[in-house]
Amino acid sequence: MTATTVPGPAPADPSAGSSVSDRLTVPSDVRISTIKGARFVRNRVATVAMILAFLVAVVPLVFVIGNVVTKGAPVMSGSFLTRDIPTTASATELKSDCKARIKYDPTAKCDPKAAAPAAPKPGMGPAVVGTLITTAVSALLAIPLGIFAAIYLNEYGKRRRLARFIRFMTDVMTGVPSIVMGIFIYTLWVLQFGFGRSALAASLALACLMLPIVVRSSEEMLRLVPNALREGSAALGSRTWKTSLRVVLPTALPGLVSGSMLAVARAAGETAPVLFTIGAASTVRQASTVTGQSTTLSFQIYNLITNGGKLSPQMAWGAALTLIVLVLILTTIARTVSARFTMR
Amino acid sequence: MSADATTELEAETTEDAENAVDLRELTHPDPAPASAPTVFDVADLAVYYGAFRAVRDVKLDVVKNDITAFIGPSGCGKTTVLRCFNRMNDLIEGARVEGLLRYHGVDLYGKDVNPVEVRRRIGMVFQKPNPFPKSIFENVAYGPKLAGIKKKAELEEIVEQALRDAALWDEVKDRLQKSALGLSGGQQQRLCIARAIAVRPEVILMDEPCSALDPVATLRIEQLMQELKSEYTIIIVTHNMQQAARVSDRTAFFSVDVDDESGDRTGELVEYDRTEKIFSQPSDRRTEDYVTGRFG
Repeated sequence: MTATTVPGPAPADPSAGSSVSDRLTVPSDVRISTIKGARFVRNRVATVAMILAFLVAVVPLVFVIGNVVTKGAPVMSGSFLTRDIPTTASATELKSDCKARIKYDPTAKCDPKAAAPAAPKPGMGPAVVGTLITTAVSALLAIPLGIFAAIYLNEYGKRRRLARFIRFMTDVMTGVPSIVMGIFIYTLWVLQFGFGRSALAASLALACLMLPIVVRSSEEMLRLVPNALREGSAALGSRTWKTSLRVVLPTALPGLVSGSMLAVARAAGETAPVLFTIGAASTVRQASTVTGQSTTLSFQIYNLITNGGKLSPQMAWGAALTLIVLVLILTTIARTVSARFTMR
Repeated sequence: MSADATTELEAETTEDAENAVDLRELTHPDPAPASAPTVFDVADLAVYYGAFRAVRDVKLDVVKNDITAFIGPSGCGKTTVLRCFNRMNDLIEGARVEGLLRYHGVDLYGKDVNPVEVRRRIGMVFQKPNPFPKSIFENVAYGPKLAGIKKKAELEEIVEQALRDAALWDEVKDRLQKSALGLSGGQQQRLCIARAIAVRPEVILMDEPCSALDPVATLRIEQLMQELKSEYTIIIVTHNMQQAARVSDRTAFFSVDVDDESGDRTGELVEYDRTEKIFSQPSDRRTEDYVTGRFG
């Protein structure tokens, strides 16, 4: 025992002593500061830097949300959410925008001099319905598959060669650009198999996109489940699959829900995989389908911005706001449900 | 349970034990004669983790309705050996068992033995209480449900009996649907014991069940072990020599042998005998040094 930190009278200048233990000796009066000036400065600088980093990170988020809300809120209404989409360029808009319309749709009949009929209210009904359907179908496809894959990886495969290969491939899949998923489903499902464009085709493309996200996030969550619980279950004569279903999954539920909702949010907002796979729909009745053609909010945003209609940007903001709120609602529901089923 | 009741229970131990045997003959038919006092016989058991030999030369017989204690310094392989008895080491990657470990004459590591069936008969209580994040009821009902009992009334009966046997019923009967994680450490450990006995195993393995508990909770568990003894065969690993002396009938002392050349530390069984003998007149010098506190 050389380090003597016994309280008592100590040298006024702690650095005066030559041995290490002398330098560690501090006055017993705690009001006397032994922290050197440079440490105060470093502490202050680090604190300020961290606060700044946080603010910088928050700025884009606040800006995006603020912008979407201020620009989207004016068009937001019950009718906006439920009405059919006016065809690419409805007569009203095109009275003044005839050139633009012909530019994007050469077959369009267009008479600049025609009198404008009563302006139809713009709506996003089909896109809302289509987004809900495609997201739900893709989630139904990807989440169970992804969670089962994660169970295989974490509970059975572990460090085995097959498991390592699957893990590597999911990592690669996570990095694949979403438009590649769209092309894949388009060439295979739409063209090769000849099923044509449909909400289902879009859902398949979105499921391909979600799958690796669900697998990897779920695996991480399953890894957090303490081994003591698996052993406790095994010691009662439980087979691995029962342990996985009855103990590991319920314990990891909140994490699994979070990971899956991340994937759902991603899928709900994706445009590229939907682009060539979903087709088109302009009425709610058309869009209320799984096997038929449909449309989504993200696709409509893309459409509205590129078709250059006069009302289009405003509607695009409205669609963007709708999309954000939709994802928010889905996430809240999922969180609430999982909290209900979790024992703490 | 009061002190009187405990004494009474002990007095009736022999009778209870016989009853227990009869019951078990119905549920677990096995080839060994019913009178056989030996539950496990172990010979030349060695456990490896990969190439590393953790324990060697384990040879002991575990007697029915006895409490057998494994004592010894840290790293001597007590827990490793204990986990062989219900093939828990199977869950550890790279773990390998050599030698013979027979349960009622059947080699536990034989080709035709399913580890799940082993664990169904040989329960385990772990060092750290590990209740599932479920309700108290669901924790105890987990094992019986796995065993195929589905009727709610039957499950309720089993859960109540298990909780009563684990001396926990009075404390939790009004909050069976509450989370098990809300219980205190000692209660959680008794819940884990209730969970283990709910499937009516023949043997209960306890891996330092009191190391995370305070003295009051420890005493409670020790009393409980004495009560359970009439129906179950118990093997307990403990760091606490007084505990071994207090509760066990037989004691196995393990020690660490350091290889002079490689520096590998291998656990080995030094001595196995009746507890009084181990603590009063051990035949091995190392045992004597350990139990008297002159560890060397």
